[in-house]
Amino acid sequence: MALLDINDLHARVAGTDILKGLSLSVNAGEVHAIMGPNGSGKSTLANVLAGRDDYEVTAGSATLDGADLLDMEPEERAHAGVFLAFQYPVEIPGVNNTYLLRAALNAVREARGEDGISAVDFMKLARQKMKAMEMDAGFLNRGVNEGFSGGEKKRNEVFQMSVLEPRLCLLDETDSGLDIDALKVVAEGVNALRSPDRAFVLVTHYQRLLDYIEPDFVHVLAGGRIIRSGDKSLALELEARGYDWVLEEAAA
Amino acid sequence: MNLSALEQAFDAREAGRAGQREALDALLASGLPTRKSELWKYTKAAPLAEFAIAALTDATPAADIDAARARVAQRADTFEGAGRLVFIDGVLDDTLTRLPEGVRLEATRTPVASKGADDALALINAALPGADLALQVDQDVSVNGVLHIVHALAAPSSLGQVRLAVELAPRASLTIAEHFANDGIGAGMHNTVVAVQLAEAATLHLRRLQALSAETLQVTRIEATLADNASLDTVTVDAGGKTVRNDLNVRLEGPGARVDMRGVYLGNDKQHIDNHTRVDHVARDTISREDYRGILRDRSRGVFNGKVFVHKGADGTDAAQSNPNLLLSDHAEIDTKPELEIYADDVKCAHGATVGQIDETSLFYLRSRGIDEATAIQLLTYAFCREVLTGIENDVLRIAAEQLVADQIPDFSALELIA
Ligand SMILES: Nc1ncnc2c1ncn2[C@@H]1O[C@H](COP(=O)(O)OP(=O)(O)O)[C@@H](O)[C@H]1O
Ligand SMILES: [Mg+2]
Repeated sequence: MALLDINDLHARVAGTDILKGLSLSVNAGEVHAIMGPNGSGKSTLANVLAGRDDYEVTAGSATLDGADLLDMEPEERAHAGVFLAFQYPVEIPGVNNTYLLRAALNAVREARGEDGISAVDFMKLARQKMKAMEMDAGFLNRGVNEGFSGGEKKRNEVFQMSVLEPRLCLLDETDSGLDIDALKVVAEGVNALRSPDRAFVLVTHYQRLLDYIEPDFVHVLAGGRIIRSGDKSLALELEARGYDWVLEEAAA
Repeated sequence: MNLSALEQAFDAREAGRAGQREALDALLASGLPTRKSELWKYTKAAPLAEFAIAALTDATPAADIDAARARVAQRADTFEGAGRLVFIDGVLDDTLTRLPEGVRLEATRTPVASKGADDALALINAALPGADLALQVDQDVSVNGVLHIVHALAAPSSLGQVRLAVELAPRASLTIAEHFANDGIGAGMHNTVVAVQLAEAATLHLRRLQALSAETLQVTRIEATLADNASLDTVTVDAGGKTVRNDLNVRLEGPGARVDMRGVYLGNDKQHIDNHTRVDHVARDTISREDYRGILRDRSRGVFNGKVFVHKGADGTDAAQSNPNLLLSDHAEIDTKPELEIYADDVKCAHGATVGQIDETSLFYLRSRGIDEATAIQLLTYAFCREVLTGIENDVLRIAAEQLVADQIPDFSALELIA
């Protein structure tokens, strides 16, 4: 059974149909890149999978390990192992980064039937993971993303992901807004998490990220559907030739 | 409402303090404000006045006073600091009061200036019995630590009236924390007037915390005057009470004077919390900052009225005011009104009042990390007023304020999740 199975998914936002019959199957251990023109529905897909309720699913299904994902609350999906690295991470002044993450970890551990982590052990873990992301430990004492630069917010998303160790990692344009050094750090963070029982869906606009995180599959999302799939060479071809030829071939 | 009851009770007591009779006469002449009065449009003055007048004829038994004293003594460690003034039913309690070094306390007989019916509760404060005291700090004296002022009530019919002048000489500095308590006696009323005089470059930090029972009434008034480069910084936390009315009026009379006014008000059930503030920029190059935040649920009602008056000649005034509110129920209400009047040049005035709900994107972000919805809402509610509380630099006091706020958020236990 695939880890993530999406079948004929239709979704709408603010009365407009965005996803129009999207199907995708992702096995544990795989990295899938989703590329596509702006506005094609990539973030919609990521948000629908994470459970954001502005998006209304009108048909189709999505399962995680066979369980109906669409029937779960966002927090239940997190407990089941779904993690979304936001395209635009939210600043929440007044809620502490450290404690949010510890509460999140304990919620996930509880769902897995594990014991909660002590404050001391958590700090050890957090410091170690932060170091890997080349983040200053001072970030731990701030509010969630409060006053972070665009790049720091993206690093923070991957840092959270590395602490929570989800089964299904959805990354929505985590590469955008990063300079090349930050991009490498983020890519290393992701690569360190690659494992046979974890899968990644990387939404990206640019091929650049895929130089550092090698995908097993590349899909083109346009008009609310996956119109072409291939291996990493497809990304290179898109980089060289743009999207028009794929759109034309799909229309033909 | 019939004020003649007040006059009879008053005559029976042969009150002797200067200004008391005058205040009564002014009150009898003007009557109580009605809803037509701009300043009492949303809060009914009559029930407040009625309670105060009834309290005048109902003397509190000595045993209740003793019990109230014991309750405050039991919590004395909460009021650890440089010193404390304890008022029980508006009477200074000598046994519990400790003056910090550098602070003088004198009896005064200065009547509170009358401004007519809009000040009816201040006139009642002046006319009825209560403490009349002046706190003074000499020039160049910085009082370390917090001076706590505890306003306690002894019985459900108690009225705690205090008239306090706080006078800081040039370059003096002081931190005061006022605690309004009723220690589980059910009801009662506070009616306090604090007149603050800050001389040149003096600094006063004033924190006011209340988590009164749902039957208690509270009326407070602060009249502050600031000379050159003086600075006043207030944080007001209203987490309880049935009807709460706070007036905070500040006159910036010397160039360079600055006031920072911050507040949070959290209404549950049918609570009514009204904050009226007024800043008069009288001198040039004066600064005012204001940030009041409201969280209203159930059938509670909040009122915020922030007036900024920039006088002729107060050029270079810099005033900013904000009043965001979270309405967490369809039946909760907020009336927010910024008022600006400007008669000077080169003035910066910014204000913003908002009324909203919990931010959906933030809520989704927290839930997507595995935090359940109820906890996420509590966290965001708490975080909303967090910035105001960070203005309290004294740790013990800030934690006490945070706890008051957390206690007002139903079932909220995740205080450790807070930055
Ligand atoms: N919350 C929303 N309200 C209204 N329209 C939306 C909303 N979110 C996305 N859309 C619209 O849905 C379409 C797809 O958006 P999105 O999934 O963000 O695309 P992508 O991530 O591929 O750039 C766009 O036309 C966008 O304007
Ligand atoms: Mg997008």
